[in-house]
Amino acid sequence: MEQSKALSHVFIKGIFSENPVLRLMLGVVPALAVTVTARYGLYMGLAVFMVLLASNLAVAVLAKFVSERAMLGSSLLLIAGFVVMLQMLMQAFVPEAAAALGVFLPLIVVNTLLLGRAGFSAKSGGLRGLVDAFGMGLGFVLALVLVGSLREILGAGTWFGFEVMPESFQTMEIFNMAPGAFFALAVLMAVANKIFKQSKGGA
Amino acid sequence: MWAIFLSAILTDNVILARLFGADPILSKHKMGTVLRLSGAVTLVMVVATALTWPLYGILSENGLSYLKVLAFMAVIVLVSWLVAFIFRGLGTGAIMANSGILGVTLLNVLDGLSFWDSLVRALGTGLGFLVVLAIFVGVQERLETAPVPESFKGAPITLITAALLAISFFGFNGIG
Repeated sequence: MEQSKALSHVFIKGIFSENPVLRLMLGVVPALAVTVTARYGLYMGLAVFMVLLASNLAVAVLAKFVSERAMLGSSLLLIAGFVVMLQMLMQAFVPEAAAALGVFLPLIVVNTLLLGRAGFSAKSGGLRGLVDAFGMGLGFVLALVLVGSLREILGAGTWFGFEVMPESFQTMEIFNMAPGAFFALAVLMAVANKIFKQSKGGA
Repeated sequence: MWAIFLSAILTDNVILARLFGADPILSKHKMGTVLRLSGAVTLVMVVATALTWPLYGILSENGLSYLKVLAFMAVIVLVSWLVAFIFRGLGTGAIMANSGILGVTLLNVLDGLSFWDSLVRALGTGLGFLVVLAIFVGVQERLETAPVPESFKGAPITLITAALLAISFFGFNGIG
């Protein structure tokens, strides 16, 4: 019972109270770069989710054979291998998504979320690492969709491509560009800070 | 070539416009650390570009260009290791996991730049990284004493500053 409780805690905290992007500031680069629309955020989130699951397991195994000094370099190469596979799969089955993510798809290799969590997985063993990867991965998808939604609604007046704002709504072009990315993420981080700091104080 | 150099520093700034390698601005650094970190990153960018550009030629001649991410990453890991020996005290992680390095080497071959143009862009990108990080040393110092709302403390206010800085960098449009 204690064990399962701890596992579910590991899972839930990755989505909310330790959300990788909004709370731990891991994987900030893709959260900024591709989230022009909610759909792109979802693509990137899912891509990272898949690599994260694979790499967390593989790195936990790798840690048994490789010395600590060589760990970072070899994890990076291992992740690069998974990313190449993912890139080819995406180009074959969802070419639209692969094109949308562009150079940021290969840049998943150096995503700080993968490296940060690979470390956790190497320390705490396979099962916990996998559960952690699930929670963190879902949290990452959630955060990217949120940032993408905010930017798409304000920048284009649509959400997942559907018109959601009234005719008279003046789109804010800035949200389609880099400054809007910083701004949207900042606001969402502040909201997350507000929610989770308060709940901690109440408990 | 001059245009490529200037736009890599200013209009296409690696952090503010391309949004690569934005992680270091989120934490507080001393000026010395920033200089060494960006020096190391710039050096790796240039050396790695000098190696990956011909490597990509070899790969695509043999129809292996889909392996470029893996191959480039291997080069970057090795170069970062060597550079970390020169810049003692910097973790290799801060260098090799900087997404600007992989980003610029990939963009150089994807945009089909010539060898020398690629090197110039790598150098410019590194300097652009230095410029923004150096600005943020000052920004973080000011933020410490500024009356920031509780939930905006830390990363959020830094990102807001980055947004304003990115807007002000739009002013450089048209220089190159």
